Amino acid sequence: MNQEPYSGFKVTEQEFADNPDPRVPCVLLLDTSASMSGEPIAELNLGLQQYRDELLMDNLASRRVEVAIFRFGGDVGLERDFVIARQFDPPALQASGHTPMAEAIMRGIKHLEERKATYQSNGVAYYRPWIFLITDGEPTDGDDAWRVACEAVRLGEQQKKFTFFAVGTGAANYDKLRQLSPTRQPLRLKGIAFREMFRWLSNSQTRVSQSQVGTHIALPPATGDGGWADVPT
Amino acid sequence: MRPWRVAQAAALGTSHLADSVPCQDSHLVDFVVAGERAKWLLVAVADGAGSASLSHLGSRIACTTAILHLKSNADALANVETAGECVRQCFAAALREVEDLAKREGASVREFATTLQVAAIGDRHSVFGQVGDGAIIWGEPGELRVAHWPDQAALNLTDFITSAPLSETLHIAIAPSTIRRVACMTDGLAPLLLDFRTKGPHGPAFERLFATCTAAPDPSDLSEDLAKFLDSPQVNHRTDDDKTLVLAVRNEEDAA
Repeated sequence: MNQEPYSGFKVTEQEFADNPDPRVPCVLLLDTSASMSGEPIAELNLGLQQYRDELLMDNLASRRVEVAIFRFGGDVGLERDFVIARQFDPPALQASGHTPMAEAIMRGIKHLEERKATYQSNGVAYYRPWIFLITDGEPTDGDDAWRVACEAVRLGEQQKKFTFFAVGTGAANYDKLRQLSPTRQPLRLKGIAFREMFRWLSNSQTRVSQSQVGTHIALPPATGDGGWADVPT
Repeated sequence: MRPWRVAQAAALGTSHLADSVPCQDSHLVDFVVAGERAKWLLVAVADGAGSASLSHLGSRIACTTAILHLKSNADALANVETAGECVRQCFAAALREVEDLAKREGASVREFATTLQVAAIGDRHSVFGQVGDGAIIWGEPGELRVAHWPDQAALNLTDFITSAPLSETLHIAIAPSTIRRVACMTDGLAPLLLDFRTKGPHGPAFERLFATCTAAPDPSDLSEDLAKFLDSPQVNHRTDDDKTLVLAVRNEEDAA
């Protein structure tokens, strides 16, 4: 194998390892209850398309960010199972029913754990996953279910199993959202700036997918001038 | 003749290039010479945390301190009974130096967060130490293995020498025989050179790289050629992180 004349370091394509791309899993938990009807749900749908388009603009992010969507409105549904951004087909969500937010959180966490198990058995490396909750209301599945969901989020954050973001819009109950994460404040969307929010999410995940960084990722600012959110008081 | 052919190089990740972040990797190769022969090949490689503002300094100081400690304690290294502890102490020394620097600079030690891997290769035994990701590959042609596989929960959750007590993060391995191949790499090269399914080195790539070291008519060209390779489109297509690689091949006459 070293009989050829020396010409520096050359490795053929076949000699490189052929590992699957590492993944950045992201679960979107989207409120599709009746109160989201009209402009909010339309903007949310546009936001999802924006999210896909932005991810596709980055070569690595388009291969590494994986998106799954649960909607909660009336019941909870897995609207899109995990696929890489290149294969992500944003749904056209419709608004109806009440707000089973706790159930959506529990199903999202469970689905994420199953995905991680699949990664592990297939030699796929992954970055710390994201769970991104968007709501304009408050949970309707009862206090006990809500307490369980809060505990699951708290534990998951503490064990660094995922990073949980809660974003409120419209008449969201921020007192409830604050109970979800003792460390991370919920954010309040400015108006219905879903597209700006998803652009931020895409930028952040592109940064994550690009380098192998420490626990504290320097995310672009979400709040302040030019941001899409503020911190509710 | 020198007992080792060594190629060592680092290249800035393309994502760091775009963001004007300095290369946060550091590496250092040195020898302990006794008489006319190099008795020990010493390699240190460190990867500063992407999220820490001064980690390029942390990684550099960790490497220089670790190597300095090993050079001053070559006697402990020479005894297989004490060699492991000697390498452990070089990590402790590196951490102390980083902590001192942080104090002097009035900055949090977290801003200097860095991984560290150290390989001390002797004639009859070798010692490897590692905190965090990246890999040390060693063995014989056709029989390469990793000193330690970092089983981290997620890619962006690696250990740093500064992040937890070394008793929890430092992995030491000892090879009680003569070895002829060793490589140290930061995790920027993991997608190309490691096999995530078998949790080991990707053989064909390393065999080719080591064969190149052997084939070079003039070993003093190797590092420059390796630098070109690390910054080639072929490599940058597969990773945009900083990447550092040290390859060392024992000269056959020396191994005999």
